[in-house]
Amino acid sequence: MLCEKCGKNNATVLYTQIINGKKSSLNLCSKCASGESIFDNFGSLLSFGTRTEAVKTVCPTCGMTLSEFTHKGRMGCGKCYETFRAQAKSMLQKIHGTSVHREAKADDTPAPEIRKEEKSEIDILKDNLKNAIETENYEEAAKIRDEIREKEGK
Amino acid sequence: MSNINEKDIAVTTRIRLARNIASLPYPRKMTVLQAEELIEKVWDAFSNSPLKNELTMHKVSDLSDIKKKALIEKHLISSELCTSKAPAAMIISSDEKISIMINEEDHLRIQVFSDGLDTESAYDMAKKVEMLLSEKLTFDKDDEFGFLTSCPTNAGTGLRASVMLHLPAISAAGRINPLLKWAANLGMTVRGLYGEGSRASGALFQLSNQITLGASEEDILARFSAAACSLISEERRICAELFQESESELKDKCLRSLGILKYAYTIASSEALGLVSNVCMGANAGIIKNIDVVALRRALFNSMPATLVLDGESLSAPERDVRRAQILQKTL
Repeated sequence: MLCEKCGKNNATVLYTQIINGKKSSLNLCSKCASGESIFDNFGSLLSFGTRTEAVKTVCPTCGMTLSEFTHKGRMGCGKCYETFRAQAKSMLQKIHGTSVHREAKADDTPAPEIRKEEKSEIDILKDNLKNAIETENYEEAAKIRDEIREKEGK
Repeated sequence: MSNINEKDIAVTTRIRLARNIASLPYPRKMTVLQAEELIEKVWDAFSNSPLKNELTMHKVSDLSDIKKKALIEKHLISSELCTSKAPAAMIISSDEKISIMINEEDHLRIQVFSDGLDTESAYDMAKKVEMLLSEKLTFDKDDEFGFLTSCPTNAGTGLRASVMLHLPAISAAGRINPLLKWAANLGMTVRGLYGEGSRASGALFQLSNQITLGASEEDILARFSAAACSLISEERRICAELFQESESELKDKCLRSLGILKYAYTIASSEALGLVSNVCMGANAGIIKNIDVVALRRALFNSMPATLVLDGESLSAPERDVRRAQILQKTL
């Protein structure tokens, strides 16, 4: 059987492509099949699911392949984010530390560089002591008091 | 958000929003027709806006090479816009405070500039432009990922804030490398504006946020402004320290530079960057009086090679150096 891509050489590889769950197969010669190589510089950035399936995924809107996306580090269109969702999510997490966009202004997280000094261990213990006294948990309060004395004595 | 200015150290602020149109391939994958249609649609979106009177649209293919170079030199457009495979264009305001790149890496790069450290006014204007465009165009947004961009490094908000900072003391004290580390820890990046890293000539650096996803636009700007303010304070502190350590040496450096700027007949652009940097440092430290630092810097940018050629007739390199000396001297 001749290669279904170049029509010149004998087909030796059965190349299976899955687009949005729809499976299609091509009989290719080894030369044409190697053109679909997945090895690239960005490979390490991505977490492949089942490698065989991921490699053959193609964006239905722009024709971007995973290999092209990982090689260039660029999407071809908005639909690519859906087509390569798992890889995109993993890449976004590596770049930004998260993949979840936030619309609303955070009212409880001031900018990190102007954040007030974190409370010291003793301050936390003092807060706990105050709480324990307020809730009349005197046994616990005594323990905390001793712990504070011990730490302050150091 | 900040409207702090600090114009002696902070030169200009830029806010950039990357936006893409839903159901349209990104510029690298667009057909010529799709790209041209988008340019028309974007330009049409301004048709009923009072803003239109201040704006002009230029197709990249219509720009001369020198005009492109001058726009890149002024950081109004990127070199990527000029090499875009798809037909590309720019919309620019007459005061050069707004520059919208169409079909660069993303369909739209809305850029707004302000003087000093001022994210507030630049951001407000960028949002106005975004709002206006969103009335005619649907931006591509994912529920989880936010605004989708060609490169995942811009996804989420698509917001990149940058400020050009003059950091001669940090630079002279050899503290650029710890600075790069500090910025990276805050999700920011610092790069030399002319030349990279510690070799940046003119001690001009650009601080910008790296993280564009996971925080709201307002939070990103608050963190960015706080980082910029820390950097400015650090520059002032180190500057004072340096002057305490080697006062006469630094005074001599600043005043010698002023002398050359005032009386030299020709000044090359790389030399001008260094001289202006020294004079500005001297002015900030109170050694040089009666110098308008902002005007001097503006003259410096207006005397960069491509801008100079664009503004005048075609000048040879030696002629440009003479013209540059004259332009700079006018501000002193």
